[in-house]
Amino acid sequence: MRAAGRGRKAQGKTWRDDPSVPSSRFALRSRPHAPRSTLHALPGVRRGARWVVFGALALALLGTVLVATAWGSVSIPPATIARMVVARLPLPAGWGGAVDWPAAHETIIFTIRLPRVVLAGIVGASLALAGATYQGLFRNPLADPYLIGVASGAALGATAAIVVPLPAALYALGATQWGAFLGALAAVATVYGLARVGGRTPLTTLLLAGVAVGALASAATSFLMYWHGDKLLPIYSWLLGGFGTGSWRQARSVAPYLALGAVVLLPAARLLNALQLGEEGAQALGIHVERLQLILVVVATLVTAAAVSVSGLIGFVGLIVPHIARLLWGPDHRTLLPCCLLGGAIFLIAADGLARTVLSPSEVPVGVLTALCGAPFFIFLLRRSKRDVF
Amino acid sequence: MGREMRAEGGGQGAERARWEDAAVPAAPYAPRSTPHAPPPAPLVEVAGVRFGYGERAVLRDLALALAPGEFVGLLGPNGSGKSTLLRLIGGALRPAAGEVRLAGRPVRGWSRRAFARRVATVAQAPVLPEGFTVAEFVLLGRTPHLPAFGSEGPADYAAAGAALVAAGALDLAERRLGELSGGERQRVALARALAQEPELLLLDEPTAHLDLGYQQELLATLRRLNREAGLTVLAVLHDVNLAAATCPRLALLHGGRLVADGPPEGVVTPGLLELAYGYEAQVIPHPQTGHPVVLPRYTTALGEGA
Repeated sequence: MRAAGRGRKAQGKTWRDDPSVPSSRFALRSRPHAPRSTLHALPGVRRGARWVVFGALALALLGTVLVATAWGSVSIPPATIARMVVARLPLPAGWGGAVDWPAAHETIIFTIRLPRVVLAGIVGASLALAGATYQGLFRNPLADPYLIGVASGAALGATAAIVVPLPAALYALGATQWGAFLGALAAVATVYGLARVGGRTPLTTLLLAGVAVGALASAATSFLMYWHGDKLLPIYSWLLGGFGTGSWRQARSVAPYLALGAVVLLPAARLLNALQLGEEGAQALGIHVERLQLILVVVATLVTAAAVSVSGLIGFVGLIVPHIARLLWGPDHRTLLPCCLLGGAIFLIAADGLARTVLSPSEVPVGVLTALCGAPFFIFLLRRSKRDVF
Repeated sequence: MGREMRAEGGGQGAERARWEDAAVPAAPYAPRSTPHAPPPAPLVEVAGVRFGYGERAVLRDLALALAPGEFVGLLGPNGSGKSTLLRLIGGALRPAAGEVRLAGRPVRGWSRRAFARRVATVAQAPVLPEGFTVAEFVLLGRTPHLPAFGSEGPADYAAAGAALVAAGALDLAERRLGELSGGERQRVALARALAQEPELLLLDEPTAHLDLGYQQELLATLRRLNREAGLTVLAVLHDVNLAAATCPRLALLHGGRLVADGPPEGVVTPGLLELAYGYEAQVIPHPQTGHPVVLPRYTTALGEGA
């Protein structure tokens, strides 16, 4: 397990008998080193298993996508779906096999089910990645991506966009989505600005400011809902969240933010580990803590806001997926973040698949389902694993 | 743990035994070089430093210099500014007036990474994030030696391994941080700091919460690193007797000022203890080593009042 993934040295050797490795200043000269050892690098470093886990999760994601796309009132076998996708790839002729499915099925898959599944996957990955980042950043297992105002800001923005009479053309362009996105960013910017004291942003102040701004925005949302009783249904269904209107356009608009999150947050995983030493401890390791915190907050917020803007408020994903990943694979963010990325997608695709099939033809709000399946599993893991989470 | 294993000759050729054996600090260490004749340029200079939290002044016009390779114990009553001084030197705080210099350059002039490659700190209550293994935690000490988004290579494993060995914590490498006892936590925190391969090690009461045996063992480890690897050590210590027995030089803080600085015989005296701690004591030389030993007098508060 430890030996996998680090091909630089022959197996069975350690740093102790590799002559190319410069010896440390603190290597003891008065003691001979152990000449041979089966330990590969350093006992207690769990690295190799990481790539096995990533591979398994990626396969699981692929399977979930196929199964979820196959689910529905019209049953289409996953194998057929796979061949449909292959047929659309720019491959040499004859690779995809014969087209033996009705054209209507292809329409169902490519204009209704697949965009919805992809969107759910992107949103799940975004929320879980952002959640894991926030939990690491605040060193608090109860942190979730909605902690510092994203949710309440997005709700206010979306509500405002729904109640303000806008030309229909703007709604077609996603006015609600933009309202939610800008509302979320404005709320977090306000929170961060309020929490900034003399060039520093203490995390506790950030949390308190998040609570205060969140309460303010929620009050404003409630007022708008009360004042525009006729718009209650669209507002409420947005707040509950879901992918009923999922489209390729929405998926395309969110994907870049998830890509940004992955490009910035995954390489920062080791620094996120170092932040677990506390602000002073991390600073003593030469890290610009304030700058790192700002970057992490900005990126995680962008990722969350984009996800929320297309899906509404889906709770529990950003809280529970990182927890499950941590319980299963440990707290190292270099394992945790990619696992959250993949696991969040799997989780939300599965939840949305259930949401639209359990009570078919009517749909269960997916947020209800995420809580319904997430909470018991979480409790089970918590009871099973007696060791502390953080 | 380490105490049981201190007995020599544990390994009988079995591999596991030799790993454990290597983790035990060995007794005799030859000094690396002959003592330097001319006083070298100071590694740390604290010049006219003033500092306060709000209105309350903690340090007033403090001056202290450490030569490379020195081992200095910082003594003083609660609230005398010991920890503050350590945090100022470690760069966590900025002086209100005066200057702290490392290798001749003001602390503020150092980049954080370069500074962290030279100075490591063991905090009074080190934060050990549970769930990580000891080895993973110690590897975090390599952060200043790695590019911001880089990951560890063989040299980092070597440094972390050597740090674990030097701190007597190699046998803990696979344990999780949440499962460690008080003495093990201190050794692991020390190993993390050593993995930075610093020139200067700052310790804030490293022996607090440790039992007598661990206190002695930890200080012996530090002394050995000081002698053998030339590590400069500045440690805030609570136990005056232990400090006097270990440190060739002691500095006594009182009310934010340095009231004594020099070899233990000149610092651990009844007069200075009375001044700094308000503690009436007798000081006698240790029957074997000659180090000053503090004996309480128990006259005023305890004896007469009862």
